Amino acid sequence: MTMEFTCKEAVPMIGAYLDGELSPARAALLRPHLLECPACRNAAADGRSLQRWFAPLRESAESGELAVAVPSGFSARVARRAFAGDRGVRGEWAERSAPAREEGRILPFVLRLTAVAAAAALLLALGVQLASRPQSANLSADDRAALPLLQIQTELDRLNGVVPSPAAPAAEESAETRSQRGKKRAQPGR
Amino acid sequence: MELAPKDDLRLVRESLAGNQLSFQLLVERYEGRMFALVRHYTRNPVEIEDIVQDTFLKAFTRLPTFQEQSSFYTWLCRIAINTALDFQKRLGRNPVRAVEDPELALSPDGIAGSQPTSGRIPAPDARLERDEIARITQGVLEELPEIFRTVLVLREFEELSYQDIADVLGISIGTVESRLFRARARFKERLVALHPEFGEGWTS
Repeated sequence: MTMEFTCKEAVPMIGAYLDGELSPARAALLRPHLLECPACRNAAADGRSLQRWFAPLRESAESGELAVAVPSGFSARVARRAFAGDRGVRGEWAERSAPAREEGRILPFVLRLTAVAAAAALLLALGVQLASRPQSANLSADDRAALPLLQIQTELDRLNGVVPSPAAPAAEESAETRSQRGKKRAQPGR
Repeated sequence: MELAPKDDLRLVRESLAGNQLSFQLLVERYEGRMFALVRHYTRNPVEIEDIVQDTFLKAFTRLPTFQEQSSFYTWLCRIAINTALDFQKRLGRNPVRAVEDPELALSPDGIAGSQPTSGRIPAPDARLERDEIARITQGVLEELPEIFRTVLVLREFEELSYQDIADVLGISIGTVESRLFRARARFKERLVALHPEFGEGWTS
């Protein structure tokens, strides 16, 4: 282990390194340390093991047991309510127990007939939206160009002397596949 | 994350101009991902539907404030997560926040798992079915304090970039990095605690 750069500094950076989110300058600090430190290489291997727990979760939520079915007609219903001035259930949740909430769905409909209530809600909504606008829009990711994940994993494999993990084949995927799927998922709609 | 922003933007503008069908298309485009996201906060289908519906209704009222250069999807994620947490709070299920968790309040020097030698995380057993692994992962996630669950869901499930996560949560990229680090350490710890059987036989 280099004296200048300790494990204590290295370990918290490994996740970002595997995510391809470490700036080139910081990656340049970490890489030589990984070359020298088997313990930190193990930590990097752990990071990849962890990713294998999440890939099946994504897949299962997309097409498996954990997929959540969207009720039919949901989008039409929501659009209709939005254009009728319905602003959501909000305050209802506080007062109602779960079993009573079914009947409570009528309340917004009644409320929206009241012009005064609508005007008050508009004012409230304006206040809320001003208060809750994202504050971090100006953050820059310029220095996070980072290495492509595939390159990082190849490099780690090399450092580790490449022993393919005994992990589930289903959960195993290349960084390339992962990034392609990421792009695919980015296309909205189902 | 590329999200066909031109199409989103067109639909947002048309919705603002009073086109109900355009808003319906916008909802249709993201409803599946919103249902999946909100499922990390409650398993009750009625509650999930209520939260997602409320998310879109809130989004509609806030549409005039949507910044055209930002991603509609991350903007929606932010509303959905806040709505889900708000919902939990109203039902008296207070999600554990970092400040209330003594272990999280430690200085960076005291972060659990910052020593590389502290145990290994097992990869999923090759004999497990995909849905089985997914159930285990979900079970561990549900045990984590909300602040850690959310950042892990955004990264590992939604596959958002650190910048997008920072935008959704209104925090800095540095905070995203350190929070993810702690969240992963905690996930690993809970995974091994809940399923010691996967720890056995795991060799590096």
